[in-house]
Amino acid sequence: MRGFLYWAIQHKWLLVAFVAGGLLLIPPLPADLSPKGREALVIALVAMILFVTEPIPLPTIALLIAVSQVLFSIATPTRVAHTFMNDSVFFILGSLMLAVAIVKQRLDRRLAVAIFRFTGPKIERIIFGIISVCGLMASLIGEHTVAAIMLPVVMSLIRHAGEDPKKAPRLSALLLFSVAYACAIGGLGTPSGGARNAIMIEYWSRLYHIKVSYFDWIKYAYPLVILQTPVLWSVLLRRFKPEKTDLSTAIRKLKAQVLWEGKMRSRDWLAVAIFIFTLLMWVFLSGKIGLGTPAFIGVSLYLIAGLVEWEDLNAGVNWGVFLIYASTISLGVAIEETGAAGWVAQKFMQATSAMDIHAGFPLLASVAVLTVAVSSFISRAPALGILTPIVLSVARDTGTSVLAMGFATALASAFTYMTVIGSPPNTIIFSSGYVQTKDYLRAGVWMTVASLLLLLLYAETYWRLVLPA
Amino acid sequence: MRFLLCVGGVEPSVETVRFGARIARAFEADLSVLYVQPRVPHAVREEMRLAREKLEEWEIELPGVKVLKAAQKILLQEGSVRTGPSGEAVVRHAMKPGVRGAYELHIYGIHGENLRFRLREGDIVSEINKEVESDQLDLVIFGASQQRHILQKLVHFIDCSILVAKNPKDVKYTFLICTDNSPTSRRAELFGAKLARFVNSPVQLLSVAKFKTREHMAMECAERASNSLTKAGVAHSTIVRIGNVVDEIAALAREDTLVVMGTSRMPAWKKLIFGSKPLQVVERVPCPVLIVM
Repeated sequence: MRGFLYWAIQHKWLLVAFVAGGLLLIPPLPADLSPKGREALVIALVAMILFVTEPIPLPTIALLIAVSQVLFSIATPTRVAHTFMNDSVFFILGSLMLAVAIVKQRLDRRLAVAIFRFTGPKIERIIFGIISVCGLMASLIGEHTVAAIMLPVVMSLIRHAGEDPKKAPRLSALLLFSVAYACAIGGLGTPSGGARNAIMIEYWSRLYHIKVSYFDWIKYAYPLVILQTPVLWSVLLRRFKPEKTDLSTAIRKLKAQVLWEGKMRSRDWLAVAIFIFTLLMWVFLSGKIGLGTPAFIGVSLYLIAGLVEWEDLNAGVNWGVFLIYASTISLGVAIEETGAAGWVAQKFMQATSAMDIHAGFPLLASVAVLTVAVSSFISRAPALGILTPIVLSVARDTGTSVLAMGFATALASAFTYMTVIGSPPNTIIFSSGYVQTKDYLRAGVWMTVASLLLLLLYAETYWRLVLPA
Repeated sequence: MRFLLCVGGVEPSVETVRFGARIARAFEADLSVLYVQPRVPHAVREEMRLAREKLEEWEIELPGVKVLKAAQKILLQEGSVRTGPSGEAVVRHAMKPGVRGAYELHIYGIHGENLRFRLREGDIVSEINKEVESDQLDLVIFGASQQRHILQKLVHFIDCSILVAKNPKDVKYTFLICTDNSPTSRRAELFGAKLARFVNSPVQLLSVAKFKTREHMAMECAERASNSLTKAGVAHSTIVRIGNVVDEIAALAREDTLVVMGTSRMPAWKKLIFGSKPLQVVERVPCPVLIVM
């Protein structure tokens, strides 16, 4: 009894979610909603509660999504399996594997030296260097991986700066947030920057038959990364005025620390070459062979060349996360196919018909703001996976560009600067113990406002020129 | 015997670590020092592991490891650690991951006992209970948390005897052993007597009757407990009071008192809603409380 009571306390949100789901199945069915549509929405609601409160391991939610679709007869087991696995999920899996393969090459020390050789010892240049390199790398191998790689680099710099991190909190915060926020803005630049991007590509393709290649994404999204870079640099330097502006000693010590690494070996060059080859395949061939296949070719080459062991991939890939992405796409498809997305979109339009936000640019702006709010408190990809079919459905029904709406949602979901749990890089730098939750608000509020304004300006100008109607 | 000392915060409480070390030394018990950090969201767990691996490659200590190293330093100053010729701790193995689900540094105590410094991640009660189960612990020692819900969870849901090190001081404690004839209070008598004898402390035996009509029962209970303490060779005085047991304990407890009592026999759900006597005692007295299971 004692054990059960403690379990119940620890899992109260699981019970709340199931009770809420059960209660929603009781009232009479709305006339314009199908029974399967309601069941799909109930599954989505229960999943959202569980994603937010995390009373059980997240991969369990993924399994429950599959199970409940079959038990509620929303889809056959074969259909569920089919919606779980697709090119975008292959791409996410391949990208996770590639990230592990790259991290195993231990190029982080060389990278650190290269950055600081280029920037010199002045803090303003160092911050710009970190932001630029992290942003670029996050676009290619994913924001969380870059944050994990760069955390020791900046912590080493803080340690070598000779200041006790507690006595130089602004310097520590400046360096750590330059990594986290640069990863966030870099992650929106390419499909491989974050799983949410791949999920969006899958929805466009599956639900609206719109094909967006790797290069298309870069063309439509990367200029925003470039625009945000100086904004981030400026905001961070203003919000965290560092106690020390010359880090000569720290850089000298850091260089001495990594001197033993020696010159790049042939295997290091091979690792870089394989990644560039993969990147080129994504850019030039993804329209023909998809996004997942180049990623798998890259991973296979790393394995064949002996640059990484299968055991490393097996241990390093977050298989649970992969399952979560697959399940949210599957549930998103169910929400669309059962007519639930259209029903919610219709209700949304009825509710907002009196306001000026029911179509076009105002709708896009509202969705962007809402996405930032939701993504700041929920693991982004699952939340977006569930909400996106509804958002796209609203766009379609109101004559707003589905492509612009999808991009606005995906890009705005990267602007989660204000909370520790907003993005994996935020959580990773928090683990250093050198930043506090209030620091996230200190710079995050400014960055959120600036990023949203830039996005809206970008949508009204650049996308109007380049996005197909 | 095997004891577990839980530390928390940015730096461990020096007094709590010293207090725990003295208790463990009195019993020549194996001592594990545990730091539980909050669980990382599942979505970034692998990335956090990767970040930690990278930090280790760069020889940068994790925040939790820093706390444990600080605790190790306090134990070294306390003379609880066996040292080599140059004064450094004799290490069985350095801090490493994956030891029964935790990061662990293993060194030796002054008489060869095992001193382990363990870092875990997750819910504090669940992680402590994992330690209790895997190490067959006899006692869990922790400081009195300022947050009532944490203290409540710790007092009610740890599957082992606990010592709440509230206001620990470097003084000779007077043991106030509270008895009521229940099986847990009988065990508390034995545990308290043993501990008092080891640290050579004076002992007071307290038996409380709720009403005047039950005074004779309290006296019988005190007499039985007194006989068992005498048999165990522990000198003591006996106090019998009438009134609310928590009020009476609080009235007798001073800063140099160590209250010893058994766990509550109430059902878990009642304890959760109404609180339990041990929890009320912990909240009201200004001194450490040993709650024996």
